[in-house]
Order: sequence, then structure tokens, then C-alpha cells
Amino acid sequence: MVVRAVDVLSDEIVKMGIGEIFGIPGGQIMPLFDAFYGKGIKIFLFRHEQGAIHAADAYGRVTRKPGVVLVTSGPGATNLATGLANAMMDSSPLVALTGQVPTSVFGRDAFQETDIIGLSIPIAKHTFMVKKPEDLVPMFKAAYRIATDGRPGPVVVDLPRDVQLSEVKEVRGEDYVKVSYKGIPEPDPGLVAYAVKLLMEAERPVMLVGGGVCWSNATEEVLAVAETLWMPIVTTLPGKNCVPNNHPLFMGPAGMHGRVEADAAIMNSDLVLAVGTRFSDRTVGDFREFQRGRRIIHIDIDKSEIGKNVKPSVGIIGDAKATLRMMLELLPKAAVKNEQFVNWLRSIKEAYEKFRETSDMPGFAPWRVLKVIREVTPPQAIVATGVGSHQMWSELHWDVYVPGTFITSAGLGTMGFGIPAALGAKVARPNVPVLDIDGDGSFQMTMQNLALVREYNLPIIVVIFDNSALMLVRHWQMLLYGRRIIAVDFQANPDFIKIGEAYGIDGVRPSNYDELRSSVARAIRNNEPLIVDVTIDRERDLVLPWVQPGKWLSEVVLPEGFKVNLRYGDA
Amino acid sequence: MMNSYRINLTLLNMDGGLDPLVRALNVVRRGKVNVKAITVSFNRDAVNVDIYVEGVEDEVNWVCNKLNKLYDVANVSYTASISIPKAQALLMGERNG
Repeated sequence: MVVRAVDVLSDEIVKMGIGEIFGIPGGQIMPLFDAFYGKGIKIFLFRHEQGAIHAADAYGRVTRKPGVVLVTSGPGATNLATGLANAMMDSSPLVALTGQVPTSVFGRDAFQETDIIGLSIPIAKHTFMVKKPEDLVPMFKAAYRIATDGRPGPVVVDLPRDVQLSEVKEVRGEDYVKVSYKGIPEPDPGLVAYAVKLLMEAERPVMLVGGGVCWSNATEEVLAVAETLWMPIVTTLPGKNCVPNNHPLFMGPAGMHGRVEADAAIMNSDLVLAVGTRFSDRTVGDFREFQRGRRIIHIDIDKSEIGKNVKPSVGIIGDAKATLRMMLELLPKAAVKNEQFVNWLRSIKEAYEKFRETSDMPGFAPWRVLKVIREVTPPQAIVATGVGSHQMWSELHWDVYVPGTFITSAGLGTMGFGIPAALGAKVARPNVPVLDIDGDGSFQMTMQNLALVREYNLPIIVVIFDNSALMLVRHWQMLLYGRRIIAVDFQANPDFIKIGEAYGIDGVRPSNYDELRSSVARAIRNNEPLIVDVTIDRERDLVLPWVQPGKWLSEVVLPEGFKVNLRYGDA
Repeated sequence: MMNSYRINLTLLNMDGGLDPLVRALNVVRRGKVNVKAITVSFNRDAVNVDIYVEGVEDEVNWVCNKLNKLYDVANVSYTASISIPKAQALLMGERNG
């Protein structure tokens, strides 16, 4: 019997303990699908390849192992492009296996031929084109390893059909593939000592936590350093996922759609200890102002991030956990703590919370919807989001209690991420409630994947913030384009409850907060899927506080009726 | 300050494929540097690339750091360069002509 390359690969995948694959078959990937027949691998058949790759992305974020997505050539492969870029921007590990036309017709415009390697090189961590059957297994294993080597990311393996079907005469080891692994750099002790010296000299140090803290599993060390110096913690959007949001030093995400106390913390700091962040323009706004009058210590596993957007006083290349541990050894246990600064920031936080508690709007207020859902959702529940105003409200008002439970498309801002990400998270953690906080625009971009909810028993709860608009664009049109509203309002949205019904999912359009609370609580209790259509008035759904792109945090636009002094010492 | 630099790159060579080179050039094209010349030579195990650029040293450094992340880059370094060589292809053409 001929042993095909795909038979060897599928056996190897089983041996590696990979139990779940997300994908859609097609002509040029049929051999590999065929090789999985009867081998116990669970294949989740998505309704669009973009959904499959977002699910693999979320699966990777939850399990910390690469998700695997399997699609055919041509349109199957090109439909992965957004998902690859998304995983690349958010440092999420996955391996994408793509079918390809036979090598004999490469470049001849064969049916469903696309140069997916050429297309994906700029948006993937690495790519492999398999040209010999004996290379298939070592290249897959290398791809799987690269996906989590150092800073995680997506890797593409392109599989021509003839290579898949060819007989393998010799199974080569992983070492056969030439790869320059990067590993994890050791932090320089001299730089760490200098960073500690700067920290000790600072009067108002602030820690800026990025998504790298999650990948490094460094939450404990972040809290220990912050508590030692009584240093306020602000975060990026992915960094919100890395520290418990109910910690007394947590001030929330800073920047464009950040919390005002977080903006105030950065603005009034004399030192920022940035950990595992690339200094996104969304967090920093004005890079020049950010660097003016304050020292910056930057810790990152990726050398190319040091000095990329912000020139630090000290740049330390290393794993966040290892570096912070070294710092903790050098920091005196009884360091001077600036309690006054933290108390002032907490007073801003309390004032803002009080303002939101007392302010209301007709129908549902987004911040209150999130509070109500949080009340009935267990701490370990996973929340995915789409992209839009609901995501920004979640950034502001969803409290993450257990690190690693908030999954969002931060870097690329991919609308449609929510549903497939929630499905991928549910596959990874079937016993944990999984919610998708979504918007009506975002929901409609990947809603066909709801078919998987009943097909594979993946009871997710989808809460749609239904403002019948592409709200964040509308927001910019209102504030930056003189209210010239164009191409953002939906005049004829479908009935989302009926969409749910079509997929066998119950739906509710609550008329008050009690109804919202009880429906979500019931679905969680019964482990049942649910679609909740929350009507929100688009004329009032302005996500504030907000900092205009490129502007400094001091120019934050506050909600009407909320006043606060953001200069420390003036109060 | 704008200066001239030579970026020297050693890529791992598997079967003479061009993907490692394309990947590296994709990084360079996103850098804020002006490319003046590139020379490439393929050996059995490695591809040696010299990229002559003009730019600010910080940007050259950014390009090199990004190149260093690639999994088929064995080595990358840069040096200040005063002279940019004439293209090899042109030299060969001159010889042939």
C-alpha cells in the first residue's frame, strides 16, 4: 500500500495531540481531509474561511497552543488573508494549511491557483511552500513550533496537491528544515539594574501593560512590581486582558477609547514602565508628547519593538516574566510609595463611575448593559468582541477578573471577529460560558458561522449592541467631519431574532435591564445559546471619553456633564 | 541625518527557493530607507545579500531588527558605506558586449 505524504502528516498531527481543526475543504486540499478520515480529529466545518481562521486564532489565545486552520487553494486561501493579518497584529499563534494546485501547473493560472505564499509573506510570521513529499511533516512541525517561538504569530504551509498525494519513501526529522529559531532572549542584568534605579528615582511611575504580559504569563510579576512601588497600572486594549481589572492599582486602558484615570496617570507620570507593548498610536496618541518630560523603560521580547515608535531611556529585550522577576529581586521590599498619586487617580475613577451610574439615555445605555451582563456572568467566562463602538464600550466598561478571558481584535480591528472567535474559544473551553459582545455591523460580517452553534453544540451567547449603524465611523463623521453622515446608517437591518431562529438559536429583544439580566443568566445557567438584540439609540451612542487620532491625552473629549481636572497638583 | 549604509544579510538556502529573499525584501520595502543597489549570490547553503541604502541610522537599525526576526535569516548587520557598487548585471552586460 502506498503511504501518501498526507497519511504521514495526519498520523503525525494525531501524535502531536492536535485534536481540533477549523476549516473548509475544496479540490486541492481533499487529500489531506481524506487522510484525516477515521483518525478521531474533530474538524469544525465553518461557513466561510475567515470564520475558520478567527476561530483558530481565538483557540490559540485561549489554549496558548497554535490553532490549526485547513482550507483549499485560490479563494479558500485568499479568504484567510484578513485572519492572518489579524493574528499577526495581535501576536496570536496559528498554523494555516492551504491546498495548492499541482507543482506541474504552477504559474499557469490553473483553476483556483493563487500564490498564497506571495500574498501572505508580509502578513504572516513565516511561510513554507512544500515541494517534496518528505518535507511535509518536518515543515508542518517547524511551522507549529515557529507559531509559538518567541513572540507568537501565524504560519502558513502551502501544500500542492501532487505533493500531498505522493508516496513518502523517507520520513525526515524536523532538523531537516533549515530554520533560524529565535527563542527567548535573556534580559541584560545591567539594563535591568539601571531600570530599577530609574524606577526608584521616579516620583510618579506608571506601568503600561500590553498583551505580551499574557503571553509571558507575567500577571503575578506585574502585580508584585506594581504593589511594591504602589504604581498605577494602565493598559493597552490587549493588555486589559492581562491583569485583574478589580485590582486597586488598575486604572484601565489608556488612549483613544481609554479610561480617563488611565489617561491622567500617563499624563502626570514622570516614568512609564512599559511591558510587552508596541506603543500603538491608539494608546499613545502623540508620540512626541508621550516622550516629553518622562523616562520610559521598555521591556519587550521582540527586539524590533524597542525604539520602533518610542525611544526609551532603557530598552530591555527579554521575556516579561523573567525581566520583572529580576527587577523584583533588586527592588527594596519597603520602597517609597506615592499613595497620594494613586488616591488622586482613584478619585477620578470613582467620579467617572458615579457619573455613569447617574447618567442615563433613552433605551439601553451601553455601559449599563455591560455592567448588568457582568453581574450574571461568572468570573472565568470568556468574552470575545466584534469591532466597533460595542468593543470600545467593552474596553471601557467590561471588567476582566480572570486574565486571558477577554478576546478582541485589537491591532487590525477586524469587524466580524466576534462570532468565530467565540466559537473557537468555546471549542477550546467547552465547560466555560462564552459570550460575544458584538455590534450589528460586525455581527453581519460573519453571522453565517452561527450554523456551527447547533451543528457542534457550541452554545455561545451573542449580545448585539444594535444601533443600526457603523457607529465608530459615524462617531468620527460627527466629531471630525462636521456631522456629514454618509454610508454608515443601516436602513433595513434584518431581524436578528429571526436570524437566530433560522440557526435554531433562541433570541430575545429585551425591553428593560431586568429582562436582559434574566435572559443572559438563564442561558448561562442552562448552557444554552442565545442571541440578545439590545436596541441602542445611535444618536446618543457616542463612545466617550475619546482622544482624537494623533492628539495628546490631555485633549480628551469627556462625556457631556462630566468635568474633571486632569493635572495632578492642581486639584 | 541621512547617510549611506550597507546591510549585509545571510539567508538560509533551501533548494534555491526565492521565498527567503522575497520575505527579506518585503521588510526592506516597508522601511524608511532609499534602496540604491542590491547584490545577491546563491551558494549551496546560504544566500548572501548586500543592500545599499540611504537613510537615517535609526531607520536602518529598524530594518535590520525586523530582518533579524525572520526565520530564514541567519545573520544581519550593517555598516556605513561610502561607495555604492555598479550593478553586477550591468557589469556582466558590459563584459558580454
